[in-house]
Amino acid sequence: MISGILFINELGKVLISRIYRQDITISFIDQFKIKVLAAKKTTNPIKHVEGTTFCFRRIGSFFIVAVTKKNINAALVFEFLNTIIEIFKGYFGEKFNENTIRTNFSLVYELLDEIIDFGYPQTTETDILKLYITRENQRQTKKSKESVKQISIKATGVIGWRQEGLKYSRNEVFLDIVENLHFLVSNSGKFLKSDVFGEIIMKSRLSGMPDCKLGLNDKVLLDKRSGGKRTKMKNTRGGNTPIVIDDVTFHQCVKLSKFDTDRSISFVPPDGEFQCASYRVTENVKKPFKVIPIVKERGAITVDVKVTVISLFSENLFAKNTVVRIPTPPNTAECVITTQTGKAKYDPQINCIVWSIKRFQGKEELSLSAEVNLIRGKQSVWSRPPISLDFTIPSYTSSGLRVRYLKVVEKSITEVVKWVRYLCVSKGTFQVRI
Amino acid sequence: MSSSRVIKSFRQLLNESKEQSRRRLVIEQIISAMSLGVNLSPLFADMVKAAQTTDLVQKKMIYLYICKYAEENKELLILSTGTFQRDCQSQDPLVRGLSLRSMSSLMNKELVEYMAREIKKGLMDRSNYVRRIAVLATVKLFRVSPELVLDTEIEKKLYSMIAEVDPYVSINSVVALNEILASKGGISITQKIIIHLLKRFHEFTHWGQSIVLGLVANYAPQSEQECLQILNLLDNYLKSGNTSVILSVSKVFINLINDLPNLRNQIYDRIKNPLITLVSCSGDEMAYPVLKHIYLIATQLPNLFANEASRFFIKGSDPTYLQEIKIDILCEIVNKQNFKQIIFALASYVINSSLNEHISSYCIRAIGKIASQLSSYFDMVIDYLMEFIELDIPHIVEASMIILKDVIRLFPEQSLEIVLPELKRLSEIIHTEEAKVSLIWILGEYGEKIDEGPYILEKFVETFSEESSEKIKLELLTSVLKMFFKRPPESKKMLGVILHEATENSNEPDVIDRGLFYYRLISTDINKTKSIVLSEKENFTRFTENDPLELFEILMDEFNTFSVVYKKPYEQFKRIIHKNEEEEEEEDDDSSTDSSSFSEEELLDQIQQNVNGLDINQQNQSQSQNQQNSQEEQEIELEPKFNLEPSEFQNKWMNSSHNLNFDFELDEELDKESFEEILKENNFQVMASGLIQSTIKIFCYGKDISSNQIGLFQLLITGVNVKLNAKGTNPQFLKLFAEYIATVLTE
Repeated sequence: MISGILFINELGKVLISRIYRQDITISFIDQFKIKVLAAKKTTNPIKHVEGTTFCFRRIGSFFIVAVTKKNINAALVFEFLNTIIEIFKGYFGEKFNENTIRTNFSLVYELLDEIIDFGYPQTTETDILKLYITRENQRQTKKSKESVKQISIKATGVIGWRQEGLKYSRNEVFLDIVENLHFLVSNSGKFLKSDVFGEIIMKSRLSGMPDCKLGLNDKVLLDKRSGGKRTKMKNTRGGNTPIVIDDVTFHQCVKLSKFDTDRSISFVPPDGEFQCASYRVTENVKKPFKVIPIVKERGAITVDVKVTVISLFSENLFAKNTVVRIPTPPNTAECVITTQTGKAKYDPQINCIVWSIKRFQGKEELSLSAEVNLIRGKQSVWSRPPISLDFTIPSYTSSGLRVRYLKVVEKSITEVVKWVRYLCVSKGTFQVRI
Repeated sequence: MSSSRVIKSFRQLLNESKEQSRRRLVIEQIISAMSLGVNLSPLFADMVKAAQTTDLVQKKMIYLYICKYAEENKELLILSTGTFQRDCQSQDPLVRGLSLRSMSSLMNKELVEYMAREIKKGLMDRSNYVRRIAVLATVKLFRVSPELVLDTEIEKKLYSMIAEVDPYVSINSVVALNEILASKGGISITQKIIIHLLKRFHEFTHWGQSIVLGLVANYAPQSEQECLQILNLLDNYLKSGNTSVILSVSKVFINLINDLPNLRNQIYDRIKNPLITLVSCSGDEMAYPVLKHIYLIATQLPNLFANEASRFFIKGSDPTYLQEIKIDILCEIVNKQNFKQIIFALASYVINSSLNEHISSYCIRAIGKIASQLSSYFDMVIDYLMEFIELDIPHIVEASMIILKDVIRLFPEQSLEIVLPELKRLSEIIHTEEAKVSLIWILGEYGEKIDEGPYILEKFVETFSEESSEKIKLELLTSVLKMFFKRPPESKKMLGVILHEATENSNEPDVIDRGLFYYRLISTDINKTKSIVLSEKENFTRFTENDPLELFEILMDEFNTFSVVYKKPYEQFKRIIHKNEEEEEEEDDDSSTDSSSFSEEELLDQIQQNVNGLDINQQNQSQSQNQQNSQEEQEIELEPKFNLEPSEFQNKWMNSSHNLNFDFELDEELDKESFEEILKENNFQVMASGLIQSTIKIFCYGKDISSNQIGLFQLLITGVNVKLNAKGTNPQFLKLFAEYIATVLTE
């Protein structure tokens, strides 16, 4: 199992070392400095040195490293490192850094002692951890028989991710469906790759132990309901068109056995925010944009570029912060760009024309044309990398996934305010070949 | 070795501080000094004394200290047993747990009896928190004296504790037994245990689930019925949100294939999609081991992923290690259907200038490897290689020539038809060493088949004396000799020249020797020389650098371990337990002082100021008890109309006793004017500002109302990165001040 957890900064200074098993020595940690930090080539995140394995992840200016002597499951180690980072974010804020670690030595040690014992991961649920971690005077003032009892109940409870006895005067659920597009489209508009990675993120403020049930327009589910009759009825009505999910993973709280028998997603959610599910859809996905690139090399020193972008989503919607990056040859001298909408300029560092449109309304057609002048001289091949787009479209999903219902059942709750938001995102992963 | 002044100062502080909150601060300082690598071992007795506190926070830190320095203070350790024992009786389960965990972590022979007694009690404790700690403590006890655990009550107790309701206790019992019984092959995995654990599988944490799955993977089901039951039950967990669980389930499935050979393809089909999703959804670090596992499966079942080739196309943002493994996978899954798609992708990576040189060479090698697997497409591969060579980009030409040579070795007859007519042109455009060597080898081996063969070689011979590469010289010697035996009339003169040059005018001993060797061979028996030089070569179909197939079979057995990542069976990389552990421990001491690059003076200053800073606060604010504990909570408020003359500012800037550097990032880029505006709004005074290239430089200062402290600082802002350099007279204040500036700017 894990022999030790280290925090080392770029310069090789050990910020924290917590050794759980005596099969490694502090001096051996130097090997990490020599073999990883001092190595000229960037190494992969799993490094083997004389029978010892270092698994590490970089966070800002330092590394978090797990050291082990055993031949164990690498995924577990990385999942664990990721969990540590999540826990630390919970305690020290999103942007925790070397300084936060330094100023909170003892809290860090406390955490590292509770989440792992003799190299085996223990409680890593932030909610439950709060019961063991005693920062400041909290415990001395509040410590009561009640809380001691709580520890026993909490740690035993089958529902490890939720505290009992929560109470909110206003019960709210926020559901965010966020889809990340990974599209590669040929210059004639055909899909070469169409992956939609979606996440269902739930943020809840609910009293008691609520049973939640989430209904999606998942094809398998709808087929099952209607006994398979509806399979051939395509495009019935907007939100109810069934979609085919290739693969889905759920948070620990989702009852997988129920999903398997009747495809219903039911769970008792952790308090606050969590990722309820992530899924992948590759069939029948919709393109939010159509891009028509025309790139012509005129002689040896000029390239004419004309890019037309058409938004295919409804005119009631709009895309925020759209950025179109149009690559130019590496020997570009200057670009004469004309466009009516948005800002466009040539960025020599990435060899691209960067065209940004703050608000891109649905069913709109925008175009940009440019004359790219090249530096004469050494002619090298231009590999014509694809055009890439960044955008965020609220209230739109490329897969067509919709939440059909969200039921919350809990005795003490009379009314629940529910919010559902959809978001479609591309961070340069929507690409069009030219 | 120990910094006696630091120790003395700490000891004094410990004795002086009576108030809980103040003591806590002192102990916190001790722990942070310890983390910096200061040897605080001499404080041991003082710390043990301090452990008799009721404050849990202090207790935790003190126990941490005791565990760290126990080894060096063996004779004093017995002092601490009283405290440990008392804490094991505490009302608070957290204290009992902490004490048990710390005491057992000492793993000290002297304490073994106390340890055993408390562990036995701990196993019966009414709190499950304590029980789960006691369970793992048994392993530590076992490490110190195995006879106290093996075949005793404890072992039996642990087996019964697997059935406990508390999931942590249950899982910890499993791992404890597994370690204790490691020499007997681990915990005895009975059907009863497996059924029990699988029944309550959903209760366990991901970590627990991974451990149970590890057991199930080693379990041999009694019947086919049982196999299917396990399969159906675990199938759900391929949808788990945890990579470790998914990979562990995959391992169980793969092991079950041995019992259900007819389901082989279906089983692999089940794990295919989850694995692909993991690659795209996880971070780079996680994707790496997952891809390694996909690669391994692909070596066994190339067709499984054949339709998914596009998922392994590389992205410019991938780190090199992911790009490499993705290319490896593409090489494995290539078949007649996806061949064109894959080769096209690889070729586009080769010429893609945004990828690094290493990857483009790697792709060329991959293309060569694919050619060796799918012989029917070798002509397309050769076309690509020829195109690459014409690009005239050194590293691409180099790699392409080497692969071209290898393809010719594999399919001489067919490929020579395409390559031979091009040789002359190639010889004119190639400049790099390895590429030349490959070309010369081709010429020597097959050059006689084209008319101009000897003349191309002759061109190289002409420049032999200027050639600086020994490799090229040696290759040329051999090739010219081969050519001589095939086309004697045209090569006779060339051979004479080269032998002369090699033996008379070379500096490299190897070249001289080879020249002399050939010369003597020829002069002894020319016919025998011919038969030696032109001996028949065996045909071959597989390169030795390709991995042996048996390796992958062994690796399948070690699925979901580091073996797969390293592509080596565990036997090959595990290290034999150190023979001279003592030596290493000595090293340990040395390096712990070496590596700590602190100056004693500085540290002493810092500690004293940290603690003194507290005194000032106490005087200033009577109800400061809370503030001592959490200094971060102190608010800075700046005086609005504070003003410094430029000369005063400069004077203070030059003469400030303390300096603090602090880097942070902004959420968005701002221009100089907006920075100044923000600073002014918050009562900072701007002394000077300017723009150097794209970096904004601002000098600023401010005075805190409550502490009357003045802080000066300089900001260097490039994009969203801010470098802050603050100066002042009090480090404590300076820290707060810097943090305040950072919060002002980031908000």
